[in-house]
Amino acid sequence: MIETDNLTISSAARHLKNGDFSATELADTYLKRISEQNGELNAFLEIFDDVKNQAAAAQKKIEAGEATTLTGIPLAIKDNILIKGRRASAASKILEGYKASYDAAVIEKLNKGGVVYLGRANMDEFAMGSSTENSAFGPVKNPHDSSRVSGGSSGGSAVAVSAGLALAGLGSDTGGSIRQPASFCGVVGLKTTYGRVSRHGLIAMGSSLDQIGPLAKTVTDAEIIYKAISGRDPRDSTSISEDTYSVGVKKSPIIGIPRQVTEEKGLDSAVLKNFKDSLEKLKGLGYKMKDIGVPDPKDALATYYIIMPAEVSSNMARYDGVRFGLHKDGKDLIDDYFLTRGEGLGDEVRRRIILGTYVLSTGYADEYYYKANSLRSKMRADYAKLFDDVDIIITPTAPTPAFKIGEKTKDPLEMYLADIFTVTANVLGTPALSVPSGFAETEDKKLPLGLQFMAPMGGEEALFEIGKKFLGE
Amino acid sequence: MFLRGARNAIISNMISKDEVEKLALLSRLKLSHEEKDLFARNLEEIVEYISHIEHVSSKDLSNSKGTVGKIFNILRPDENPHQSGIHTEELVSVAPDREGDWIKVKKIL
Repeated sequence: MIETDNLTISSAARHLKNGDFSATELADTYLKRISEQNGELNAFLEIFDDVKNQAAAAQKKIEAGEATTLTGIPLAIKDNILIKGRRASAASKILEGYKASYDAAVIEKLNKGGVVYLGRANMDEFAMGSSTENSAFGPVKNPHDSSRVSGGSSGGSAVAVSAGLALAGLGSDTGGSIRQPASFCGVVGLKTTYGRVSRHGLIAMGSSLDQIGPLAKTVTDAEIIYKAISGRDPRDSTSISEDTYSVGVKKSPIIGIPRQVTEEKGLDSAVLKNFKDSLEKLKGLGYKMKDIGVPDPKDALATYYIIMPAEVSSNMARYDGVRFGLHKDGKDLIDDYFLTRGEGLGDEVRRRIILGTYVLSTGYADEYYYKANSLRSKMRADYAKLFDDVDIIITPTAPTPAFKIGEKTKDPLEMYLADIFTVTANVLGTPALSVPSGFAETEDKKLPLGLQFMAPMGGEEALFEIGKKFLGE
Repeated sequence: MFLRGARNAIISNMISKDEVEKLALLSRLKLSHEEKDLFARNLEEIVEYISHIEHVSSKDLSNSKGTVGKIFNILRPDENPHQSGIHTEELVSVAPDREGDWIKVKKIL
């Protein structure tokens, strides 16, 4: 078996090219690790039965000298990204039996590289959640402490990477769903600039917020996947071109530290200490720091929890039990809708549909939905001004380390607060990167913590630069 | 104090069970009695939190609807259609009920 602890995409690609091991051996190694650990961790909902064939095809490519860095690399794909002919459930019962009739744009791109898809990664149902406890197929467990959550909604992909069940993974991020589980599991997670990666073939949640991005062990690996999946796609009308935003990478970028973070009294003490240690580390690396005041983070979270459910309530209307997925038979057509949606959709999904219907309804839309949208415009203007003075804004990725399974499931609002530092990037559309920054020691376990770098629109390169320096890559 | 602030606020009785019932009807969701109670309680707390945006006075906001209305659709020309029927089977085959090449539903009128 291949030693996977220190294996990365870049090193595996080198070994594959040198013939140190084959793509088939690499896939076998991961399949074995999955069979040993997935029963406990529940990171994958399905392991594809053709992994060996995929690996053999990749090996042929390598031997023919046609390999790219991604050829033969075993990946975990979040269950809301369509791969033609394979099941896709978004971890929901309502998509029971659904098979994708086309490839997502990101999958088309990865296919060209000859990657190996290991399976469908578990997630919160329709990506709605911050702990992966909302999966209709059971929660994902954190490999650092199996009594704790993985974070979410891309918890399956984060755990797969963290526990060495995949070399990297794809997730989607609507309010922190890549970065927060990356932080909880000690891996790297990137939310890309809005429009950078096509969402064609991504099961939609909040369409003005959703982005696909990588989860990986290193920033270098995240960058490799980012380069492979990004690019303009006419099938996603929000998709942008290479030159939509012109941002260069500065030689000595200035880091902005929001004083709201360092002064926040509700912040977990281990998170605050780790954040301050990370600032020292960055100072030691020669970065200049600037104390800044950002718009109240509560503005961002409140705006997010208005706009997102509004979009959810609209996007979820397509699940009617007529064209695909689950169908529950009632006395007439409308009764079919009620029964199918009532039984097929979980608590959190129905809660958000109802909340979204509320904020969009006559009499409330002015107070909530339209006001949230104008606040969103104001936040964009405010942050654009901040980015005149600083190049990167840093915060902890999440206000706490991974919490206990079941700790917040009874209290949806408490769960929403887990997104406090991550939602801003989605509301603005800016890219943000979470990197592992150390551990919080609780009981007898060491729980990973993450540091979040946010750049202006189109600023991914600057994020990779600082992320690599921070991790010593 | 953005992490705890909302929890100290006095929770007003803003969303009733009846209102949840009406919203569930509009969004075609069947809810049990217990779920209606639970969702009413949950929604009350959440709406209390999101009502935080009330503090933003409309003076601070440049226009009343933000980006809504500034967003426009990007359309592609309706050309080069694929050959008729080539995707029918793969699409109809995933439907819960079919009759020939049609998706079957109960009568509407």
